[in-house]
Amino acid sequence: MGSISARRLAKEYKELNSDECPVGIKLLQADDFETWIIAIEVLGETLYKDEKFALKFRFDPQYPISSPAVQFVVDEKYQAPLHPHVYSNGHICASILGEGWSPVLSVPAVCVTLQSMLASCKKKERPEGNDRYVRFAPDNPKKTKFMYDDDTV
Amino acid sequence: MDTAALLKSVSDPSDFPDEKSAPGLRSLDHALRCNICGEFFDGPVTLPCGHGFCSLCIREHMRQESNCPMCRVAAPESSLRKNIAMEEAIAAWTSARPLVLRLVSDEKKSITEREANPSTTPSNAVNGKKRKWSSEGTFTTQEAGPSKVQKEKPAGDSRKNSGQSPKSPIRVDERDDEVEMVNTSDIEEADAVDPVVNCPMCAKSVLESRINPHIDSGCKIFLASKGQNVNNWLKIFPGRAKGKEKQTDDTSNDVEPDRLPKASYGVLKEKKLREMLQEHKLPTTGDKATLIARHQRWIMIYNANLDRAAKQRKTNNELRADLARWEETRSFKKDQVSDGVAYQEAHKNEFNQMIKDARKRLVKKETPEKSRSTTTHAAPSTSGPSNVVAGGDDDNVADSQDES
Ligand SMILES: [Zn+2]
Ligand SMILES: [Zn+2]
Ligand SMILES: [Zn+2]
Repeated sequence: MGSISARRLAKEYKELNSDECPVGIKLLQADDFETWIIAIEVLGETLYKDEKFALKFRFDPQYPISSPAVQFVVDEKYQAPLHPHVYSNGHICASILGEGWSPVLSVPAVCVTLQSMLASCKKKERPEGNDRYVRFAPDNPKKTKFMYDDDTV
Repeated sequence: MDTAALLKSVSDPSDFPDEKSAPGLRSLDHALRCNICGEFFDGPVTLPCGHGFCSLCIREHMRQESNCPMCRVAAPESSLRKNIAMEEAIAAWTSARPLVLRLVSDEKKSITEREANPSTTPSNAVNGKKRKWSSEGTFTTQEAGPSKVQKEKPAGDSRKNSGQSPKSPIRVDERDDEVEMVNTSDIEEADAVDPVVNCPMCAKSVLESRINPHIDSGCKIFLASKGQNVNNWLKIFPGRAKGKEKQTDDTSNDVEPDRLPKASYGVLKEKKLREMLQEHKLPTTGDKATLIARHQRWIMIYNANLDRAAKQRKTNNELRADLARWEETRSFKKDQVSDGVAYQEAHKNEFNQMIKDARKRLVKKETPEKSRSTTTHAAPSTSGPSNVVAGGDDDNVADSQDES
């Protein structure tokens, strides 16, 4: 029973490496149950045409009852997409990653949702207050919700 | 959990060929699984909205939110109803699954073999056509379907032509009544005038009425007698054979044990908590938070166990063992990624093994195809990106700005 998260992730790993893996999604790194890195591209005519991004997923033992911590990778190779709901440190303001999470969602489902979030973007810009948020943001984006509730940003 | 056992038990619908080559098999396997844990429903329960989950999975979810994870319709824990029919379907499917997997892979192998060396089967091979052994002792050709798992022709058709049963035991999409036919009338009819013939492929003796399925199977399947045939079907549908006695079992109600009520722990003293744990023969060690977590978990797994059919239920001692394992692998602090680290470490080997195993299986996969929409099924509130994003700055940073 303690291995529900491990078993779920094993199945998702299989899916991401199979013919069922959504288009534009590719598992780059999954050395353990803790952190996965996934490449994501937005297909079709969008503002992000030909751009490549990477997502970092972190899981805790309560997954999938509790949501994974998801953010865009920001390093020498990758940047966070310029989007009104994506901070420059890679943190994403998407309800499915917080209160809107459901345990029937999965890594591929989150990727597809973020793809369509990018695909529907009309104007490339950072969220308001990006600099202030990034300065005080916690390492784990899941803690961000806590800060909002506390109004201590 | 033992690593080998874990590996073996990680199964999913993709163990079956895609919809095109084996219609319905993946969907069937998917339909019998819980969307929270991905396993076959364990103690399946239904919510008022009609969606179903494992009893324990949904109870864990409902500790955080009283709604359906699929459609978000509000649903208190007290609205859960067990789903006996689902549980029986799963029992039947899990016992049929290994055989079906084997038949499917035999089928695939024989197709590949035939496609790979048509020369080794000179009397049988015509490109794109499938030959059938007819009663006159000659081959007739027939268009090959997109896949052998699909029925190539309506049953009546070829039977009229050849006077043979076209039924093959490796067709997995037969309807119930057709199965019946194979088991009884078909065989009985044929039996009287069913001579043994030598297979033109392997030269072994086969009942004439069974020669086509035999050849279809790449000379792997021998149905020497009808007894054997019937047995194969019983393996696939054990529920049908036992249907009667099962039914009487279920209705001979033994008294249902009562569910345990939830406690409001806020007002309880530690001493009282320990008594409550003792009452269920549970350990009384640990601080108050540990005691509460343990008692909560016990109530949950105890009540979830009652959603299993009586004969599937675990004993209280087995439940206690489950509880102990749960305490081992879970920290009582919730929602901290950092807490996961020790756990992840402990399970690293497990994971590496699983990865290896998965890779082995994946090597065999054919060319990628358009993906099935598992993910869209699974997404409850992602109808459009506009629903998905909780207006970033407005709700959050901007709000807090006002406050400060
Ligand atoms: Zn489940
Ligand atoms: Zn529902
Ligand atoms: Zn009834």
